[in-house]
Amino acid sequence: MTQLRATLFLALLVSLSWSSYSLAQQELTTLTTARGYRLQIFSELLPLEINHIHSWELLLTDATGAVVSEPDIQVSGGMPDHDHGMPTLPRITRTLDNGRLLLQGVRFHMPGYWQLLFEIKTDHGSDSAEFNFTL
Amino acid sequence: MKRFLTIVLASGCLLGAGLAVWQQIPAPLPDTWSPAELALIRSLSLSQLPPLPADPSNAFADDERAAELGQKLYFDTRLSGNGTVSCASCHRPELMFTDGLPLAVGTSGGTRHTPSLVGLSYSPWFYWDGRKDSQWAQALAPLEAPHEHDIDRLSVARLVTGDQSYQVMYQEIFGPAPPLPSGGIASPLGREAFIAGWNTLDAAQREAINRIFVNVGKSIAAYQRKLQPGRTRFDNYADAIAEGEERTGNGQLDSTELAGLDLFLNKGQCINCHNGPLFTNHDFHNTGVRVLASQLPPMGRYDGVRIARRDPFNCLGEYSDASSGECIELEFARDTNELVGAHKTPTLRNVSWTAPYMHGGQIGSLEDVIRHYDEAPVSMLSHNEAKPLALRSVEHRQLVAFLKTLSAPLATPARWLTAP
Repeated sequence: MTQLRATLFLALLVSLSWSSYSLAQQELTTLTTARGYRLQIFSELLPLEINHIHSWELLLTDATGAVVSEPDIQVSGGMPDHDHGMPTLPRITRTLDNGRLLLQGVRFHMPGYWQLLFEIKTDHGSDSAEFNFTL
Repeated sequence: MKRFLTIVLASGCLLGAGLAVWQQIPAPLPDTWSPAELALIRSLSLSQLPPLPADPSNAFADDERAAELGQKLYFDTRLSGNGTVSCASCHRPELMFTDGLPLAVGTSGGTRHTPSLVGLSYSPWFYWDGRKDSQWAQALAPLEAPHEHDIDRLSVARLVTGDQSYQVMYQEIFGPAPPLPSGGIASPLGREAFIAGWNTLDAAQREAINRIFVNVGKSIAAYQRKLQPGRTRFDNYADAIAEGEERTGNGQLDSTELAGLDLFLNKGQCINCHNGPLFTNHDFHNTGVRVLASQLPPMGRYDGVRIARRDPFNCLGEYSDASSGECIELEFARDTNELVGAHKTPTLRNVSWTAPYMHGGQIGSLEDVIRHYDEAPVSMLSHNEAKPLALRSVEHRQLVAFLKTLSAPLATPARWLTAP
């Protein structure tokens, strides 16, 4: 178990440092949605830390690479191993000049395995993406 | 037949003896910490504690004069209806700002255990259920509570602006105080007589009283921000242990304490909630602590966050100094059903000096706290987030030994620890 945790921890560190190029904020990860769209997540805080409330920026692009304008994205999730959700209710508060959506109120309060779900609604219908990671 | 019974009995005895020995023998541990374990250990060290975060809702939070005024107020028993209770009556400096009692006793008996104030200014939430989102707003609530200070808001404002020992200090920090009604008692909370008096006042009078009252809270909070933990043996260990070095390398912790630290990080899962340099995630969890006799099962944070949202003294309210966008914790606070019965994770710093434990002081010793988490009983309301740990007897003792390495005299200069 200890070995597994160490591996996951190192994997997260490596993956975060590889993806940490900077636009307005550093890229945390890129997800592929069920519909095949790309959801890029940029974080104000990298590497992610527990107990630090911060913001993310989301950018949704379709299969042709075009930015999907003003999608409705709801974020939920938590720690399945502990039967609880996030300590906050993060939500998108506005669209930034660069087309990204500002997601405020992100905080994680425990080390371990987290699962986040992004439920997306666009003019083309419903979509979703999952972000699973270990802190 | 007799021989068969003898064999069965002998086997049973051997098995029982084996189990008893197994309960008591320390498990062998690796000689060194893994990189992930080492990172976790270092994350718990006091040297990783960041500077005290600003409180945007309190423009006087780091004003030295406000802290001095707050210290005077903190120890003043005149801030109570019967003249015998001060903040220091329950949050006693000599007990790491706790009272050693299961339930607080102010002007009468309370319903919650007195938490320590040490390092509390790092928390975004206050009270066991997080019903307050700033230390200044928290500091005000006990004043009007009938079982704590039991004093009305107007009397507090009158004391601070009328008493010679406070008048000059108050004016130097906050400027001239607005005029107050000359007589009577008045408060929007607390006893019926307080509320009746409040109902006779006009809006301008209420506003004047509120402004002074809020400044009292902001001063007490400025004082409480001085109360910070000191370096412990654990911190010395965490800062000195090097990668690849034997666990016992720097000699700060003995083998029992180190085994306890291993359990804290791994099998015991304590670090899930008691994390960071203050050994708390400042969040709320239901851990199946038994309900107090004569009390209904508390709703905990589920109610607490709702109370905080409608509190006129919250970060978004007119008495807060925060600007738009600075009340992130309040604006994005979770309020979901899983918070039913959830209470705040307390710091473990100085934990061996701050018994009893839990929001109602339900558990008297660290040994019993470990037993509670080992069993993870079913919660009367909602669900217990913790799972049974299957710890052995020796592991209980090891965890307690580790917890005892987390106490040390405060970093706060002695002049702040007594009445001025």
